[in-house]
Amino acid sequence: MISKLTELPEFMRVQKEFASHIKSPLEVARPVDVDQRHMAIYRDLFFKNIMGFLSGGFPVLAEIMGEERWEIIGREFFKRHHNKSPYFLEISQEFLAFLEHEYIAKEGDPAYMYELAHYEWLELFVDVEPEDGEIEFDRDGDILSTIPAMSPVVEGFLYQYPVHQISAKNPAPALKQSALIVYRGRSDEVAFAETNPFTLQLLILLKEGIRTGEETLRLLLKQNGLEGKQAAYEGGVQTLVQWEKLGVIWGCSR
Amino acid sequence: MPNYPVNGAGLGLRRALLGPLSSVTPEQINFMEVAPENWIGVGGRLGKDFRSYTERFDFMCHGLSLSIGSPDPLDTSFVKEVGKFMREHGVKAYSEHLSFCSNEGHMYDLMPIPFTEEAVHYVAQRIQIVQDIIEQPLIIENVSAYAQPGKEMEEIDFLKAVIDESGCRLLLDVNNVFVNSTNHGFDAREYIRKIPVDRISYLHIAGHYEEAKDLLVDTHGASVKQDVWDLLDFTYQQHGAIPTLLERDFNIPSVAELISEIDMIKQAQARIGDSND
Repeated sequence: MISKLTELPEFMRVQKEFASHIKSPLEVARPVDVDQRHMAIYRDLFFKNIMGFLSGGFPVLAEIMGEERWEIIGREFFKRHHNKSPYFLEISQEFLAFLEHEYIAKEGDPAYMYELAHYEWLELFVDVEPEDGEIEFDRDGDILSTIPAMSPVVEGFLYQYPVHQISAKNPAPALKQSALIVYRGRSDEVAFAETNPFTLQLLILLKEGIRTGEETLRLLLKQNGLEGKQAAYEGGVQTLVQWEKLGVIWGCSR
Repeated sequence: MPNYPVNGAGLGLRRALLGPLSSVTPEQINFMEVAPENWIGVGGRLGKDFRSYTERFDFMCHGLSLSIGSPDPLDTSFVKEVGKFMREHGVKAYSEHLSFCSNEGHMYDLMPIPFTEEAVHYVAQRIQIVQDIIEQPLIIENVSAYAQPGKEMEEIDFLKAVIDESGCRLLLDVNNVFVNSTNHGFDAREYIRKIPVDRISYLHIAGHYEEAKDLLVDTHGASVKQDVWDLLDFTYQQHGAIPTLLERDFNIPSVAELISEIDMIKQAQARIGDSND
C-alpha cells in the first residue's frame, strides 16, 4: 500500500490523502499542511451533502432509523462504497447497491430495510425515468381487442413486507407478501397499485406490448394451466378494466 | 466586441425554481445555466418542464462531476453524454470547476487540486481530451477553497498556467475570488487584474457565508455581499461588461428578489457601457 502510494506524483498523493481523510476522518490523517479548522469545513460540507441526498431519497427509512443510526449508515456508505455514477439522482441507486451488497446488518436494523429502500428508490425511478418518445393512445377503445398502451414507466415487485404502508407511525409491520405496481399516471404523477403475484405476471406480458388484452389473458391462463377456465378469464378482464381506470394502462395503442 | 457564448445577466436554474420561474421572460433573465448531472436521463414531468425552459432561454451547462483534476480516470463516456445533452437542448457551452470531486469513486462535492507544476500538466491534458470530445473549448471555473494542500505556486499562476497549456476558456467566479482572497490572504483586485481578458467566457456571482472573519464559505445560500458587488464593478472596469450569472442554491428567495439581484448585475453592466461611450 505504502510503496504503491509513493509511486504516485506528489500532488496526487496529497489529493488521495485529502479525499481519504474526508471520507474516513478517524482512520486517515489529514494532509500535514492543512489545519484542523479548515479541514473541518470540508469534512462537514461533504458529509452533510451526502446525508442530504440520502435523506431526500429515502425519507421514510431515514425517519424510522433516527438521526444517529442513519448517520452511521451514511458514514459507512460514504467511506466504503465506490460511487460510479456522476449523476446526482443516481446516488439513491448507489446507496441501494451498497445496502444490497456491502452493508452488514446491525442489531436493531429492521428486517425490511432493503425492501423499504428499494420501494423508496422505485418511486423516484418512476418519476424521472425517460419515456421512449410520446405515447399514442386512445381512451375510448377496447383494450381486449387491441394492444393496451401501458404507462410509459411501470414496474411491479413482490415484497415480503407491506413496504407501502411502513412509516414512522407503523415501523414494525408483520411479514406479508405484497405485490406492488408503481407507475407513472396519465398526468405524469407517480401512483401505486396493490395487486397479487399472479397479476404481476400479467403485467410482464402486457409490457411486451405485442398482444391484445384478450391474447395476453389467454396466454397467462395457459402458462398457469388454467386454459379455458372462464372464471379466471373474467377475473383477468376485471384486472385490465381496473388498471385502465387507475392509469396502469393508459388506453389502447394507436 | 468580444464574442461571448451568452449575453447580459443570467440565473442558475435549480429544480426548486422550475415552478416559480415559469412566467419569467428572456428579457428579465437573459440566460440560464444547469448542471448536466441533474438533467441527463431525466424524463417525466421534470424532463418536460426542463424542456420548456431550454426552448425559451439561452443555456449554459455548468458541470459538477467531471472531476477534471481527479486521480481517478477521466469518465469519457460521461463527457460524451454531456455533449449529446448539449446538442439535444442547444446548450451554448460547457463550464466546469478547476477541482476534483472523486477519488476511488464520486464524492459529489469539490476539492482543491494542489497547485503544482505537475498538476498543471495533468489537468491540461485531461481538459484537452474533454475538448476533443465536445468539439469546443471547455470553460473552467476558479473554485472557492478552504485549504490549499500541497501548494507550490499561487492560485492565479496555477489557473493561468492551466488555461495557457490547455487552450481552454475561463468562467471567472467573482465571489470565489473574494472568498479565497479572505481565506488565503491575497489581494482580490490584483488577482482579477492578472486574468487574461481574452479567455473569459462569462462570470459568476453569488452569496457566501461568514464562518469567521478570516474564513468564508461559498454556500450560494444568501444574497450577494456588498464587497462582492464592488469586486464585480472592479472586474467590469478592468475587463468590460462581461455576461454574468447569479448562483443561488439554498434559502431560495422569491422570484422578485432574484430578479432584483439580476437587475443589479444589469445596472452594473450598464454603468460600464455608459462610461465606455
